[in-house]
Amino acid sequence: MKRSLEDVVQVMESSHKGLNSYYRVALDNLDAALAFLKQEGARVATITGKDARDHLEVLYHFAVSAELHTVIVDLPYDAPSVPTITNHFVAAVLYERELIGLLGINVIGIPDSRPLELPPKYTDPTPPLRRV
Amino acid sequence: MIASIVVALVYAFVAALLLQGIRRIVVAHSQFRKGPSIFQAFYDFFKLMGKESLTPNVTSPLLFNLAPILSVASMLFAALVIPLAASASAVGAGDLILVIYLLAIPPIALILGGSASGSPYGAIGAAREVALLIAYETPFIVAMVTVALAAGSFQLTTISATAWITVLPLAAIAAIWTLPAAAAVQPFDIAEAETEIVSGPYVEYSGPNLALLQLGQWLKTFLYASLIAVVFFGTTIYHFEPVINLIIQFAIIALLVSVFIAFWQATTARTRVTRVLRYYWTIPTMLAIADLILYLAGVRYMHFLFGWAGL
Amino acid sequence: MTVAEVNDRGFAKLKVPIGPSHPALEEPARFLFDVEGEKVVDVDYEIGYNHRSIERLCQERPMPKIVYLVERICGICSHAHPLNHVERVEDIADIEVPERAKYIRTIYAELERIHSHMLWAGIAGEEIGYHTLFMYTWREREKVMDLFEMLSGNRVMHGCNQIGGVKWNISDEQARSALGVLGYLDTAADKITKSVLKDSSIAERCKGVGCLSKEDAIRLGAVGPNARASGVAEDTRVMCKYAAYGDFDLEPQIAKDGDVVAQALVRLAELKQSIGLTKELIENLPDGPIQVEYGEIPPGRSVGRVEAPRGELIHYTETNGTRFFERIKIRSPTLANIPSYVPKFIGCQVADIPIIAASIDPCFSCTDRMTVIKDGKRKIVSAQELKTGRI
Repeated sequence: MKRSLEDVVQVMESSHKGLNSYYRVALDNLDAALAFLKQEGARVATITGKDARDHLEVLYHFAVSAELHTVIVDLPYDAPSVPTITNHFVAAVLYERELIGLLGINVIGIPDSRPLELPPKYTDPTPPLRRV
Repeated sequence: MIASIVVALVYAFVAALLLQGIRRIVVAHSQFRKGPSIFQAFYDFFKLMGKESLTPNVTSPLLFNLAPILSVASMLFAALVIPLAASASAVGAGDLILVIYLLAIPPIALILGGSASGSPYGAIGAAREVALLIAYETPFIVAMVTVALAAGSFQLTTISATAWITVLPLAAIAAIWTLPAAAAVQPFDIAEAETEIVSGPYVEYSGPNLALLQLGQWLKTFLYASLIAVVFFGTTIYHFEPVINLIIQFAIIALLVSVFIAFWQATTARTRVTRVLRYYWTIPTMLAIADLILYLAGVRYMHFLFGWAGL
Repeated sequence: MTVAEVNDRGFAKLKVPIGPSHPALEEPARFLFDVEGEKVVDVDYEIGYNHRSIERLCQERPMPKIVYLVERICGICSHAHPLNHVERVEDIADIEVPERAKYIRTIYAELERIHSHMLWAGIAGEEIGYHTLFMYTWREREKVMDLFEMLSGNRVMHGCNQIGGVKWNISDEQARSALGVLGYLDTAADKITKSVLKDSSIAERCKGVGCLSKEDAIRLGAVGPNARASGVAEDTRVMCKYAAYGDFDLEPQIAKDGDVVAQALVRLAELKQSIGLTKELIENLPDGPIQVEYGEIPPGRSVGRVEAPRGELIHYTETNGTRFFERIKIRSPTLANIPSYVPKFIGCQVADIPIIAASIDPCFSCTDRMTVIKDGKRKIVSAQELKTGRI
């Protein structure tokens, strides 16, 4: 990338190692970060949802040729919700549906909100990847 | 008469199943494999006869169960009418038009059964079988009618007195060209394309129903090839003992099948149903029509080319 | 299901299910096609039949077991997954793997690519009804499987990758034997390529079928040979230079049209390239140890990619200093390629469905790893919904 994400958006913490860069941003700055990455020619590689024991995390992994830039947002356990990134990155729709199904994160504005790979009458209130 | 009927039926049954074994072995050897036993079709048939026939919950169980019986009955009748390796057929006389109609009944049974099976695979398979039938019957019928015209009669005993390939080779080529489609193998196994529509019309059949439906198809392949052998190669060479005659005729048919069905099957992919009509209605039909027109115009080109050989 | 509806041109409107159990599919997935006559107008699909809750298990099993668990995600990519996994752990713990081990890993990876592309050629032939091509390519593929058995004791699931190196060394005799097999495979690959590209019945079934434009490939996130067949010149081996790829000059094999013939061109070209590359790797195998000692795995995280035979495979691994992993996320190439099914299927004929389904080389085993399914009901994802995910 020609410029760093830190120059464009306020980043709470960041770390770099080799070709990997990690940026933790506040939920409000997510959109700006995405717009910047899209401009730099990034494509979404995958989205990881994580149960970090006292909060949830969503890690968006973007590939910019050989580099992998990860944007991390923190979400609370109760009613976690995050806006969709399909406005910028169409290919992310399946990855966001995994977040819905496996971690119970509400993705706002996603065109298809059905959980991926879960049966239609899944009645267990705890999503599968949360630590119980 | 009874004896010849029984012999004809048994011969048709055994020969049709053996032919499938031969075909599979030739295909297997083209693919660096050994292939199944030559009696594999027998094992399949008798195994299926011992299983249970299930009728799915369809609107017309009658049609569903009638189709296999129709298929086999028409073919057994055809076996009595075609002069298999003799100057007369098992029931004495035989009519070409009758045989052509009978040979069209197994595909129609397949269409009926596929439509009545209540499955989308069956419906698509039936539709494809319709297209295939119209496609390959056209050059076949034109070729056969040309031969009947040249022989002056539709009686098979009269027709088979001459080896018509020596007079109407283009019609022979057109008829032999339709063999793989009649046998429903690659490139024309589109009605029962396993990877596309599971088994097409066969998909809901099981047990004796399936055995009979398949038997009808196998008999049709054998009798179709027999008809071509009898019409175009004649029965004049069969002046030995009846058993030897049958073996010679079977050898000719096996050769036809191996080269024009099995070898072709091993070396092509399945074609598309939209292309089959165009495929058969162009060159094969034109060849058959060409021979028809030439014959009607009195041009005996084979006599002209090879008259010195005393044909 | 009765044919009750007819469209305005008189063609029957049918819903044709393909799967989960169907001869056209290697692995279970469910497609529901809206068909009018022989033309597909819409496609619904559903994945998830091969769930084994692997990501959840990765959090609950101790670290040494995870290499084996990850290996069993898929039989055909059984080297790419553990390769990526151990590379992530080595990245977190700063373990420097010896050169010989890197070369051996690369040799296995390339052999896997060879056998996978031959498998694909056979399956593609089978889908269009060309059984002879299937028999022929799989016969040659057996030579590769015998080679694997000689090197590691197994045809698939070699158990070769370990954190810090590899388990099985390649002796001189094995190397000589392997070079002989590769020489034979070179000729076989030429024959396969010639017979696929020059056959008129294959061309009739595959040309112009299942086209994916370059813009759609990039927008829908297609990866691997699927994307390269549409002209996207990205190959993770060339871009990221992991394992021993940095020592070799590779070029991504691309084709322009994006149809099934282009997919075949790309995979067959990669087959030839891999055979040549494996020969070079074996000839230049450096001496040295194949394993280093390492201590505790510190807390940390790593994300990285590997070029599996089907495309870009990405692992995100996070450790927390205990003997369990904090999180492992695996995104296999087929999941990234699934959205590209939609433009490929719409407008094709029913006869083209199997070959298009096989053309992206789907591996649903790799794709459905994640959820614990509590009851047997499945759900359909509609193409309409996928389509409205676009701008």
